[in-house]
Amino acid sequence: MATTALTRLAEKALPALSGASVTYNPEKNVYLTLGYTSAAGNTYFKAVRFSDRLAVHYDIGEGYAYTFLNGITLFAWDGNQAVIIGKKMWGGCGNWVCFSERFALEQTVQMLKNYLEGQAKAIGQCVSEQQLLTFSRQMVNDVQTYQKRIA
Amino acid sequence: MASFEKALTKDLFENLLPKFGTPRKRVPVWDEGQKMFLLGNYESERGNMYYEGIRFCENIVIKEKVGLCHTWTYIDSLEIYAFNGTRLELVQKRDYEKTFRNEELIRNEAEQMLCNFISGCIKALGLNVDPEQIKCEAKRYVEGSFKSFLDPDFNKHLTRILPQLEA
Repeated sequence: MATTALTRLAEKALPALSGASVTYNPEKNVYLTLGYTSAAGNTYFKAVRFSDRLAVHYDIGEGYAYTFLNGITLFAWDGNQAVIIGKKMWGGCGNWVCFSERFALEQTVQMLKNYLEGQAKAIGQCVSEQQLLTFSRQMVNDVQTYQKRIA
Repeated sequence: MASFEKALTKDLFENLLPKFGTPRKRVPVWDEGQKMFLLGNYESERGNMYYEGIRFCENIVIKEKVGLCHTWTYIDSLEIYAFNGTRLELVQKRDYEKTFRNEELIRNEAEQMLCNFISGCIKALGLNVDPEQIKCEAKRYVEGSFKSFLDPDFNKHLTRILPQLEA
């Protein structure tokens, strides 16, 4: 029963994949879409992690010498549907970012913190910066470990 | 008292970030990365996701329609609204084909559209205004619309217009 529920979550948990299939990479602890290779020889793919509260899409571009982080999209759940709660993009003149797990994680924590801060402000609640960051970091850390449980 | 407050905050967070299968509390979503409120998203049969977002100042509202396809983000259309009392009126619209979205493009396009609108109104009124001045005012309004909701001096009363745009 628990396995069926988790599998259903995995199928639903990967929104906005544009029909691409995914495979689990145990070494990186991440789901990866198939890559698309451009005429210039650069390959683009998504790396996806999720939990029962969040889904995180990392848009990756592999160039000749470097691997770039082109964007992060953050989703929350509304029932069984994924809802975008944050998106950040890099690239363009002077704005290229090389991919690193640490940078991606810190950016995700910050994005989630911003989301929660905005939500709290919208409903007139006052929450300390420390509480926002602590909860955000805990949620993103849960996302990091969730894949191993269902892979 | 501290643990009671902590429990209240945890409860708040869990409502804002519910578990899969649980409905989310209906609160407008501010996206700091794109500097706009997200109005909702849907997924097409092909698995492409589309969403709308708005940003505003006291004078204008800018609405974006964005499409996500694989790892790319496209701008599908831009709309600019002006206020008529507390109501919004569409004054400019542009549709795009296969155009990658980035903030610089959105700013430039919005400024150009606003220049066009202001110039048209001025011409209709039979007035004569320096185009540079129009450009300056358009830039000021667009810049104002990119103000972060998280800034302490954001005019929160403006969020009352959100239900008009979500309809």
